[in-house]
Amino acid sequence: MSETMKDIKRLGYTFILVIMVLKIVFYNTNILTLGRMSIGIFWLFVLPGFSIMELWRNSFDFIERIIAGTVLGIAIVGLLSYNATLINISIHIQYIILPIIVIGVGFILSKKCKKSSSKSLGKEHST
Amino acid sequence: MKTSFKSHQFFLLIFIVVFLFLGAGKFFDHKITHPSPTGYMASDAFTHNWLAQNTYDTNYLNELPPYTFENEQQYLEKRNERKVYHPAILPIITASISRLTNFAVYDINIIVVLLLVTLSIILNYAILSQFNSLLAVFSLPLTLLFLQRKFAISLSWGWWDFITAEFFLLAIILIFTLKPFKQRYLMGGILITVAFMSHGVEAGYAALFVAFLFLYVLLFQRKKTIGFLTEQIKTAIVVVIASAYAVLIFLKTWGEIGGSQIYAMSYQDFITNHNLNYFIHFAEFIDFRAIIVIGLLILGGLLWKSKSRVIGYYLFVIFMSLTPYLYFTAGERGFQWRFFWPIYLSMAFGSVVYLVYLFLKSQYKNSMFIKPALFLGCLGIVVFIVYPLPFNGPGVIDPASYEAYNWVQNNVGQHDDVLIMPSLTNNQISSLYLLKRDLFVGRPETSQKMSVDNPNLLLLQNPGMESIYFCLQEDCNPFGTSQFAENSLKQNRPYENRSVCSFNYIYVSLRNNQEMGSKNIAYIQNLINKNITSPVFNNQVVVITKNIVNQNECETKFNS
Repeated sequence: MSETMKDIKRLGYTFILVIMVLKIVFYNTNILTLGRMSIGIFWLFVLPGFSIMELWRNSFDFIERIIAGTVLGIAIVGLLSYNATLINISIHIQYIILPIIVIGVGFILSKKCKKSSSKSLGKEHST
Repeated sequence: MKTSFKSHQFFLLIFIVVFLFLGAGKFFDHKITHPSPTGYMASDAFTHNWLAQNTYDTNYLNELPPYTFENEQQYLEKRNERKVYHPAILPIITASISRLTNFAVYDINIIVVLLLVTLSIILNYAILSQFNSLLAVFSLPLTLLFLQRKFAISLSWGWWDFITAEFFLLAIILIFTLKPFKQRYLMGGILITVAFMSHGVEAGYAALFVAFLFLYVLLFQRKKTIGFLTEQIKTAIVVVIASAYAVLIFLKTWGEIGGSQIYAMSYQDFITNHNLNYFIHFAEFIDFRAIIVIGLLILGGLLWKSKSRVIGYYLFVIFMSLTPYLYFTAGERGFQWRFFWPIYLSMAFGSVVYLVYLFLKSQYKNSMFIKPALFLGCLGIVVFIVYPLPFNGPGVIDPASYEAYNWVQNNVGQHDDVLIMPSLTNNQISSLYLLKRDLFVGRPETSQKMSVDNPNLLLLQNPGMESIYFCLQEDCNPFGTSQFAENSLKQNRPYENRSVCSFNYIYVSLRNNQEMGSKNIAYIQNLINKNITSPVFNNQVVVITKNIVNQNECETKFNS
């Protein structure tokens, strides 16, 4: 299984874990409401931050990437959102577009990182 | 990268569940959605909430709502003539999640802040675990004190921008105490920028932390001095680029009114000049005081011996804890760093328990159960101390009052003026912002001089949202001369005398003290009897009346 698939699987488990924790904490709330809350947090912060953490994939393990990624996701989405309002992009669109852009950037970074690491591996082999 | 999350992550998970469970119980009655703002115990919470709500309502951070204008034409012409200068990160995050989830902004706002506190605890754990993951685990229980006593008011009273920025500050500390990794300056630069935009002072604290880290590098890693300085310069360049606009807005607004100055004050001066009932003293730690002092000494010794980079963090915490009266920009609230004491000083508690662990381990051959027993034992003790954390009720606005708020939002014209009759709760004036109309708020002084013989009401307070959160474009213009201070003074018209006949609606809260309450009812009854106003909403907690005659006729009828 590729690293990306492993990450997707782990992210799925993390999502379920978050819903379980929220169910314990907010036991007076139904599971659908908790699901909406979790999707909101994952879409806006966890996934964008986690994908940007691809840049530091080799330096952090999965749990570190998801925690640092969430922190970074809050920072990046907050910063981009602030600047997007300066150029009159509505919040109504931002919450859809911004995570897609950040996740896209993360995806590109991930590809680049993989290329550069395979290049350096190739060099190591040839030497 | 070694934060050693893996080795003790199960303990961390248990702790997070316990912390969130107790926190959610205390502030939200274990529910995500509520019929009215829940957990909001003071005005500041509503102050921050209003900006998030307005961003949600208008879809833009910098757009003024219709009700701040006298008519629709003025609104269409001038709604974009101002810019937000209030810290914007938390409001914008809140508005985005509310849009996505479709939950009320007031629910999302406070839940996000609780999640940020929880993440701050995780970050503190990660910082400490670089030195010793077990010590980090043993530090966790003390952080539960955040939910208790005066510490908890940072959440329920609404010191939210501070909490948001502290969260970013801990993230900054974490990444700079980690073993260097490529392009770390990018992450550092973004986090410092966002910390500044959340609550400016924390960017200053971050600089202070970097100074302590530099001291550590000079003492223990002198060979890395150049590398360290180069990285910090790169970080500073990222910060300058990313925060340029926000810094200029800050200097043109807060800076113009003296908010960018650095203040220092002695303990005696502070207590004499700001005898605040919510000031955090060390006594808030009750029986843990001795443990914390001893723990800090032990940890200092352990860190010095290990030469860990966490020394930079340790020195920063000691400095910040011992010099609470040296503060930047925050005025009398400079002491607020102490609200996070349970998180910052938990390292001391962890050190003492860690020593106990080492002792027990040396005494017993089978040491397998010592770790969980000590952790759960400490957790149990602190839970016992902080528990019960009863649900404190909805807070400043109860569901019945919020029903009236909803009625106003749905039935009162956008440009109508609303008189809020004097009430004891009016001193929490920001809680009225959610009425989302141009308000004129009666005060105790208004009540004293209110008479059925004179339609004039004295000393009404008009909050004026346009100047609380926004600056005029020309005042925030990075390259022009700012008249912000002068304009703020001009627009700040807190007390106004107006005739009762000039309002479209009158809002009367029946939750009041007896004297003010009876006077309000007699006054309104007189207006109803004279056919000046007519009740349009009544739910036994709030009565709303609508003025049914024009101003001239009203004045005549009033004096008849």
